[in-house]
Amino acid sequence: MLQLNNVQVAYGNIEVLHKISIEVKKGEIVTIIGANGAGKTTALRSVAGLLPKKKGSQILFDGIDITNMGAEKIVAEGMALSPEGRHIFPELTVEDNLEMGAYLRHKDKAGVAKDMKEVFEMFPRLEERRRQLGKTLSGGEQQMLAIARALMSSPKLLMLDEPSTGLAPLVIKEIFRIVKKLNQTRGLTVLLVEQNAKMALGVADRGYVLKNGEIVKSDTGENLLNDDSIRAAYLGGR
Amino acid sequence: MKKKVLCVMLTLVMTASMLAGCSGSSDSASADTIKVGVVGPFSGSSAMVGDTERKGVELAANQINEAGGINGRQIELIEEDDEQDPTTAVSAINKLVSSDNVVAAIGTVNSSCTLAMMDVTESSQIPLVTPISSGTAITDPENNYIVRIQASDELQAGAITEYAVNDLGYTRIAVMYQNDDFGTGGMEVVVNTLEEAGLEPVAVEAFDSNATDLSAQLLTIRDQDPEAIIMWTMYAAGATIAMQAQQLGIEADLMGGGGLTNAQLYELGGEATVGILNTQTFFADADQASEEAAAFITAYEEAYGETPDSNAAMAYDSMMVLAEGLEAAGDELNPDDIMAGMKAVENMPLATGTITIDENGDANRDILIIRLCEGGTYELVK
Amino acid sequence: MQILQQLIQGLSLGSIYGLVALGYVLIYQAWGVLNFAQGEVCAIGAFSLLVLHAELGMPVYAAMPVAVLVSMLVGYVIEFLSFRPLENANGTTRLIATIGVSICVRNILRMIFGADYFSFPTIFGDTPFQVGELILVPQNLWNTAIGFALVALLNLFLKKTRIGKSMRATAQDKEAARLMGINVRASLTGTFVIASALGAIAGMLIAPVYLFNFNIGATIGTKGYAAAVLGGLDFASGAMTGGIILGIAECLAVVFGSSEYQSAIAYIVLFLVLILKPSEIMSKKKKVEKV
Repeated sequence: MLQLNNVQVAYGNIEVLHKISIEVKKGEIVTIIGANGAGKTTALRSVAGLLPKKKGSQILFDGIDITNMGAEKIVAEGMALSPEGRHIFPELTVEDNLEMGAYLRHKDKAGVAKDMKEVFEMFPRLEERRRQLGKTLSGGEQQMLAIARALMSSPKLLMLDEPSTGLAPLVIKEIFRIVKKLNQTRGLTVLLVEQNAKMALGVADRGYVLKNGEIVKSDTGENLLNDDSIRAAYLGGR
Repeated sequence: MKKKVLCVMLTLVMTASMLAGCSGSSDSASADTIKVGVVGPFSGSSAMVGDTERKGVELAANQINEAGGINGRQIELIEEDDEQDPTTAVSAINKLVSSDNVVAAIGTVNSSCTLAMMDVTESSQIPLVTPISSGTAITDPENNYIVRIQASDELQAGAITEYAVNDLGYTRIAVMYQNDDFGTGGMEVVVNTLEEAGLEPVAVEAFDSNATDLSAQLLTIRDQDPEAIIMWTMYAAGATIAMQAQQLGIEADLMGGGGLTNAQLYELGGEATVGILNTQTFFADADQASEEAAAFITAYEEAYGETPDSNAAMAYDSMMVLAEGLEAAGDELNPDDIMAGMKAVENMPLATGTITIDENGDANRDILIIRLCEGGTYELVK
Repeated sequence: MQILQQLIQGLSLGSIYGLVALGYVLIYQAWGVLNFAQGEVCAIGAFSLLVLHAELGMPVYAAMPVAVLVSMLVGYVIEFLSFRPLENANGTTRLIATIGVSICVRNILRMIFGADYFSFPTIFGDTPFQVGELILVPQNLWNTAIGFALVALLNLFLKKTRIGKSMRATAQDKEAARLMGINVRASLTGTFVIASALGAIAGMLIAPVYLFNFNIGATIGTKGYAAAVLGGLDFASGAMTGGIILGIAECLAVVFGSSEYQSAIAYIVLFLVLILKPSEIMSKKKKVEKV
């Protein structure tokens, strides 16, 4: 479904991604783990069309070359990103935030209404607060809103950037449970970037390890979870 | 790239607005002419006034030259544009003084321009005759090289107040003034004149000269039910006051100074401005005019095919008063002698009435009162 | 009764200040910069109406929408030439660019129309009528009504329609807006053009009531700016409240204080707000993007 071939990204003269190649197959949950500053967020942002790629990079999504497409066009192809730091719209209500998620689906009123209902079933807290402004939500609720908003575009591929940051362990568990459930019941393909490698590898079919802008390892989630070097570097020892 | 385009555009526009007024000056100087500088707003928003100023001076100079000149020498006028901008006015007078070597100068319209030029003319000892500027500060006793033909604001404000009190018998008078040197100066004279007559203004209200809405002030005034409102401002604000006073049902007479005289007053304010009384130094009606004024009106109409206004008349008189000074100064043309000659002018009948120059350089004169009539014409009421 | 009359006057003046303030706020929210050329757009509105109606003889109700369109076009040109190229420049540069635009527009108007004042025939009637002791001028009442109606409409548009919401979303978080599929470029331009239309309408409402010359933009722009700052540079309601408070304060200053200080009120407001919370005013905080 998603294929990154030799993707190179630089901020000015500093190259932060060195020819990385990643593949996400339909129906998979794939995670990219790595230390802070390894380039994980850059990778997702460049896929989503928020960053320009260097020549020679290629990103294919569902058979279409999206390498040089802008973010607002890529959404229409069926990709959604729940960005790092949530980036919900603080002065819009929960409901309006979700409506913005479905911005391109304005001709499909019935479908949007149905998805809205589903999202509220998934996150009942959001339904309770549907008329509140985004900024009044707690951190966990904002993360739920960011994911729910991404889902509202009815994506084929959902990309989640650090969904666990700053959240209580219970909330993190709940969010990962929902991601897993979406994957299983709807067949939603997920690309997940996480610093919490244990959590991420726990739900992922496959994982990539990113270090200083390069992919240093890739394997199934389970194998990575049991890999000693990975354990030592990213899973807090033992 | 886009930034560059923007910069270039801005530069172009600014340059264009600066170049908007460039003036030519004749340089055909011959040794035995008397060179006199003429500064006025020949371009920009007051170009009309500058134009009549120039015509008035030229008419006087031509008449003098045709009659044999001054002590046998012809007057040569050198004109410079001040664009109604004090900075430009200073450059203009500097050029006249240092490169054209004029012996005296006439100018200009805007009081702040005249004030700016006066520093130059004083330090280089060049007699300056200002035809139209009315600002009170101009005939400052410190400056020995200035003569003013226009009636000062002091003279005008006193005259209109006395007219309201003595001729119309009003006792309830309100004052409105624009909140700057010009307006405040006029307002103080009005209040003092009322005080001398044992009266106190029923309201004194200031307004910003850029303000669009003056109804708050007018409402306060309306509460005092005055018989007259004396307003010290220019024609645009005068029109606003007239229109808004009419809307608010204020029936008081509106009156003010010479700054109100402008064809735009009626064009802007329409019917509401009919009946406004203001001071003036000159009224172009050959039947009611003095012998000298009538002669001037006829000559001006012959030369330019239009009726002169007060600015043209005052410019004409400026040249005439300057001629008195030049004549008195003989061949030497010593600046102090020129000044002494001008200050010796006493009861001289001219286009704008009988003039006496006092020791500060101010022209003491009778002030006319005119009234705006239907259709935008004026009638002389006093 | 005198106070009530002054309040009505202040309200009518204030609703126009509010419209101008609204333009400042919309652009500030979307672009993160105060557009000091907003006052000039009012002048463009007033002069376009003058040319179309008084010079070219178009009926006033046809001339008004055309004048709004002209002003929107001018707004678009301003956006294209001076906002878009500087999108990533720092706040001060952008602020100064808007001041440059305002000087530029003012001088162009001066070159075309000179410094003379113009009066514009009344649209809604300037023959006053009396209610008790109150004197009411139809044009002023209409101005107040139109001011409020426009604010209400804009509020509705921004809060209830998909496009309106997308404009607010863009203003709040450009990157997130892109991730929603919103065309941020178009949304920003749209906001600018709408702000220009509001400014132009304010100018067109002023024209029939007051005399104006090329400098009207500077006068009205300052008032609108002060009203916007007073209203907290927040969305619609704040700007209108700020405008009305300023309008009424200017009228009451004459009653309770001295008319000498009337024109200083706007500056006093600016001064106070800038002292009390300066950081928010000069430039909207820019988010630091993570590498």
